Amino acid sequence: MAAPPRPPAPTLMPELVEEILLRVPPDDPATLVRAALVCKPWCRVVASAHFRRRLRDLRRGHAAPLLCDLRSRGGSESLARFVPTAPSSFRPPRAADFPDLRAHDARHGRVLLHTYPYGCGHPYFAFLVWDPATDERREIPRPPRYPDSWKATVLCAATTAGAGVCDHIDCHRGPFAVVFVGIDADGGGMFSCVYSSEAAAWSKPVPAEDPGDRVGWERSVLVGNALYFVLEDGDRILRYDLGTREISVVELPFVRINQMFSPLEPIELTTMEDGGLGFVRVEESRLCIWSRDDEDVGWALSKARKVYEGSSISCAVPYMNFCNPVLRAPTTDDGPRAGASSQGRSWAGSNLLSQGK
Amino acid sequence: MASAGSGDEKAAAAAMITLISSDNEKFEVTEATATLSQTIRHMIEDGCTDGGVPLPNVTSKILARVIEYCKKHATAAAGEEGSSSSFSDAAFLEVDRAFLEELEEFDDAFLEVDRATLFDLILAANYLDIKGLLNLTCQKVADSVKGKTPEQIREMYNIVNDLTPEEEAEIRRETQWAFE
Repeated sequence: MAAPPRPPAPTLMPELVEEILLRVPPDDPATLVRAALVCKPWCRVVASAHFRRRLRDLRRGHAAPLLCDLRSRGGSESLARFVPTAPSSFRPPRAADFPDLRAHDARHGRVLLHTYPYGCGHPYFAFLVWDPATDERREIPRPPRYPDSWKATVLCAATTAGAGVCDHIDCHRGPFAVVFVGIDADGGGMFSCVYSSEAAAWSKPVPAEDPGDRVGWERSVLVGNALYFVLEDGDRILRYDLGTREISVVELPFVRINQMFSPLEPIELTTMEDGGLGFVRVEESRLCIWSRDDEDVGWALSKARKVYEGSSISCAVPYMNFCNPVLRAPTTDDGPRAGASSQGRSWAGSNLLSQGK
Repeated sequence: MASAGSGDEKAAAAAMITLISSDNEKFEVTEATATLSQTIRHMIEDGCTDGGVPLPNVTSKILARVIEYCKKHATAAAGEEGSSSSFSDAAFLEVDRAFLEELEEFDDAFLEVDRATLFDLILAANYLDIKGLLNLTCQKVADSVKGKTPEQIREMYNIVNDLTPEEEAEIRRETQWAFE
């Protein structure tokens, strides 16, 4: 508008603007949004499906950046709160405080929250599945049974069709499933059921042999075609086969503490760098990472580190995601309005990879 | 060193190429320097560099900078002190860390240019197909827009905002979080 004293910078072709914006770090989607507001050509680059594909392909194979924690506060009033990680500029489209809810699980671009206290507060639903990138929220009714101990896991519905069907880079707007594993202490035994967002209903409970323990609330992990859950006693874990929906028990190696072998130490499940199953446990003030070997028959101690002090937060669910904004492409000067409908809403391209940390 | 023989790589060290800028200035460079540009490498392979290579898209001011970059990086690729005139993998691997650090310092200093020049370098790197230079310059711009508002980015790179107020308002409404 106002004629600047210096000559305008040379105009870059869209493919060069793309080269520049592809180099914005993956944990900084806000910079992409602001770059899109510079001018129409820049906006069209950021809004283009081509750009999103390249951004995704560039980041494929890398661990998704940690975009936030969802922290839950205990006490009389319960609140789950979105807390961005320091370098990340990602923010959900609107305020993300969830009164009477607790963050429970996160995977494949979605966060699973549960009502707290369980079964109270919200008479109509037990869980909420939230997509932080689009702010879509979906209420999920109570599972068919109401056990003493349980753990629920949210995942992309394609995962239940078999490993490798979906790369989870851009599936967060698609159908999802919630796998629920419960154990009734009063002889009701163990069972599992699956909520399907497409059917909008829970499956019938599938009974399984009672392990005589309680399901822990620690993070479950997805490895191949199986979900792994922690049992409270700490000497065994559960393996849930997403294909057959059968549950089996996996023994953990004993831990040696003060010359005694003790199995009863809390563990945290994780995925290893090669995608295999692992778990973390404190053994005599060392943080030990055990990994499952390739044949899935034994455990090997792969790393041991000095322990550091943790904070006092009762629960933090890491939200790791690829997130790049999709904007409405602006009009060209001489053309009709372009792109408004094809790009859909303002966000896409999210994926949550719950890589072990 | 390389006398007769048809060893292209050996001969390349000595062969000189003339590059001609848009404002008709001539630059004599070694083939090793020139072939950092894939565009020029193809021209050499096709044998169409006799009488000089006209580069109608690159001014002498920018071409001088590009050649400065290519000279430095061609030396890096060839290894130090001309111990070998060919750039074998082994020679490349022998390039020691100190030299790579020096190269990094060179790159940093090289990027100390005004923003119009930076855009011109991107255009030239793209036209001449010099991957390292394109990466370096694009990364510099990407780093410079981090945390900036759209207004600041326009101001930095002297870009005219052609979005209508309605379009701008709509995008801002949809992505409010990115401005907080």
